[in-house]
Amino acid sequence: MKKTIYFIFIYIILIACGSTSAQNDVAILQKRTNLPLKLIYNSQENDSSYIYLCFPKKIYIENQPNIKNKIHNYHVGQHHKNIDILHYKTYEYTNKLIIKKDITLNNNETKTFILYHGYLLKVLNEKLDVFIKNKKESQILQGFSVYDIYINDTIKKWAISKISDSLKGKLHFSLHNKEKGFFYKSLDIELFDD
Amino acid sequence: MIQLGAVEFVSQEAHEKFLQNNIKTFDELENFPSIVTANKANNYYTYFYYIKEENGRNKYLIDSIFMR
Repeated sequence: MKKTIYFIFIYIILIACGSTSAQNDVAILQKRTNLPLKLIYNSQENDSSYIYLCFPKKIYIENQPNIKNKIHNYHVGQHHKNIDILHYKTYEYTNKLIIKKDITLNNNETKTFILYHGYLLKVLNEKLDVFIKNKKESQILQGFSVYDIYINDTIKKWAISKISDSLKGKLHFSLHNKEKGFFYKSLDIELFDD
Repeated sequence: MIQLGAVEFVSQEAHEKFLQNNIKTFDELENFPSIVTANKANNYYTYFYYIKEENGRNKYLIDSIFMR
């Protein structure tokens, strides 16, 4: 009887250690940023237009010792394995929006980078004019014009009313290392830092 | 070790380019720029794929394609 209890005790310790190391492979955190929103102008219909409204996120990643991890993709959406490329967009940011790249994390390495996650919205043309009329685009991305939108209370209220909690989704990171193979980490996201 | 995933809402244009072998990487498929319209005739596809790591590179194996 004592032997059985002893083995159960050892087994519980091993399981606990295993799950702790699995959770601590890599830590992904969000930090505050003062960057503007980005509006990607997609197409115009008779009375309304399709845009992607993109929100900045500063991401801090801390890797643990003795393991090399690779982030081979990240995206925003409802599910970590399904990438919806119509209703959501995710870009890396280095002075301008760029197509995201793989991120390799060596032992004990920390990295900070900025990404933008965007949502497909249909807005009235009058409303779009308020945002982009007489403004110069900040870049052309894959043939689409990108505009900077500086955050104020009116923009915040409007964006929150357009992007419901059910649409907002989570920020999903797909990772890989030699020990665990492929695994995922997801972050809850807020549209604005405050 | 392989992992299953899906790419949803691949546009008709991207799908045709993929079938013609003009889209050769997963990144090109995921980041293909499509114009969004309210036209109901637009077709969209879901790609199910397996991802596999080989010598430090990711290999994507398309398992099946469904029209939405």
